[in-house]
Amino acid sequence: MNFEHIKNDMKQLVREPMMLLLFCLPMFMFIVYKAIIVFLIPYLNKHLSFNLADYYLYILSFALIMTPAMLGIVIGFMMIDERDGKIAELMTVTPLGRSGYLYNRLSFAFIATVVYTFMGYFTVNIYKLPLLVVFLLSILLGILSIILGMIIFTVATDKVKGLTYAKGINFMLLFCLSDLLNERWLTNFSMFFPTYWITEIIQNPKSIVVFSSAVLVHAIWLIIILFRDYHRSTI
Amino acid sequence: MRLLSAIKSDIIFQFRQGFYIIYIVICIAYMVGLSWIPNPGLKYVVPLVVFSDPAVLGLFFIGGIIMLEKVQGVIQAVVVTPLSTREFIQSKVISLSIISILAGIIITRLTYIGNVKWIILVIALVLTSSLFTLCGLVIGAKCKTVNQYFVKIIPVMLLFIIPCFSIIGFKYSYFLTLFPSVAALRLLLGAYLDMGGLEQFFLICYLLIINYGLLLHTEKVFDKYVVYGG
Repeated sequence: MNFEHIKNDMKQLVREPMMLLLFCLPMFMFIVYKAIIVFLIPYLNKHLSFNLADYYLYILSFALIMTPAMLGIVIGFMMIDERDGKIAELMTVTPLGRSGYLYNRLSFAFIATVVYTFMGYFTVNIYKLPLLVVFLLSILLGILSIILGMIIFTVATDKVKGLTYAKGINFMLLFCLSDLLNERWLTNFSMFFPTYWITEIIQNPKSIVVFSSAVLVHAIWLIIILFRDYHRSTI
Repeated sequence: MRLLSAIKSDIIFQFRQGFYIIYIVICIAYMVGLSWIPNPGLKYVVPLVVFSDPAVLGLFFIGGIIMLEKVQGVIQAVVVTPLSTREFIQSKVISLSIISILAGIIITRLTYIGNVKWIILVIALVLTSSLFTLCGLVIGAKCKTVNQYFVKIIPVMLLFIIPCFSIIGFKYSYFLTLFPSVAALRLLLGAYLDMGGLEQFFLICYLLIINYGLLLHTEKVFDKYVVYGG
C-alpha cells in the first residue's frame, strides 16, 4: 500500500497551522467530554438527583460521531477551497488524476477518523464494548467521514452552499439520539441515516442484524454520493 | 434606496443558497426535539436554543459569504459602485438578522406556550444577530479560506459563550453582563421570563452602543483588509 499521499497530507498539515489545529480538535473535544463526565455528572447527580448513567451509550455515540462530522466537513471545505483556487483542477491533470485526488483527500479523513475513534473510546471510557466492535465502528465512522466530506464537496457548488449543507449535516448527526424521544415514526425515519446505526451498534454490539443494517445504510449513502459525483463531476 | 436594494439582493442570494429552506428544516427539528422537554423547563430551554442557533447564525454563515464574494470578485465590483462600505456591511447584517428573527419567532411560536414579550424578543434577536454577524465580518475580512475562518472563530466563540454560564448565578456573576454575549442572553431571557423594564432598557442601550462601536470597527477592518487590501 502506498502511504506517500498520506505523508504529503501530513506535511501540508504541519505547514498550515490552521489545518493542524482543526485536525487536533477531536482530541480536545474528547478531553472536554471527559471533563464533563468527571465534573458535571456528579454535580447533576448531587444537586438535581439526575442520573446520566442510562444515557452513557448516547454520550459515547455522540462523542464518536463528532469526529467524522468535523473531519468530513473540514476535508469537504478544504476540497472546495482547492476547487475555487483551481488547485484541484491542476491535480487532475497530474498522474494523480481526479479519482487519485479524491482518494488522497478522503483517505486522510478516513484514517484520521479510525485512529480518533479508538482514542475517543478509550478517553471517554464510559461504556464497555468488545474491541472488535470498536474496530468495526471505527471503519463505519471512517466511511461516514467520507460521506460527509463528499456531500460538502460534490453537492455544494460553492462555500456558502457548503455552509448550508454543513448546518444540515449537524442536524443529521442528531439522529443518533432519536431513540431518546421514543417516537416510533422518528425512529423509523432515523433508520435511513448512518448516525442512527452507530448508536444501535453500541447498544447491540453482538447483533449481526444491526451490524448488517448499519453496513447496508452506510454503503447505500456512499454509493449514492459517489454515483452522483461520477455523473456530475465538480472538477 | 441603495441600502434597500443591497438588502433585497442579499436576501435573494441567501434564499438561493438555501438559508431559508435549511432554517425551515431546523425549526421542524427543534419542534420535534423540544416536544420531549417538560413544559416548566421550556422557559429556560427555548431561549437558550434561540440564542445558540438563530441568534448566532450570522457568525456561522458570514465567513462563507465573504470568502465567496472575495473569490467571485463581487466585493471588488461593489467597491466601484456608489454603495459605501457601511451600507455593504449593514446590508449583510440586516439580511441575516431577518432570518434570525423569523427562525427565532417560529421556534418560539411552535414550541413555547407561555407568555412571550415579542417586541423584546425581536429587539434581542436583532441586537444579538448583528453583534455576531459583525464579529464574523471582522474575522472573515482577514481570512483566505473557510477552514481558516472556522479556526479563528473558535476563540471568539469561547470568549462569548463561556461567560454565558454566569446566568446560572453566583457571587458577582452579574458583572459578567459586561460581556456583550451575556447582555444579549439576559435580554433574550427577559423576553420569556420576568425582567424589570429598567434592566431591559439598560441592556438594549448597552447592546446598541456595543453594536455601533463594532460597526465602526468592522468598517475600518473591512476597508483595510478587503476594499484596499483585497
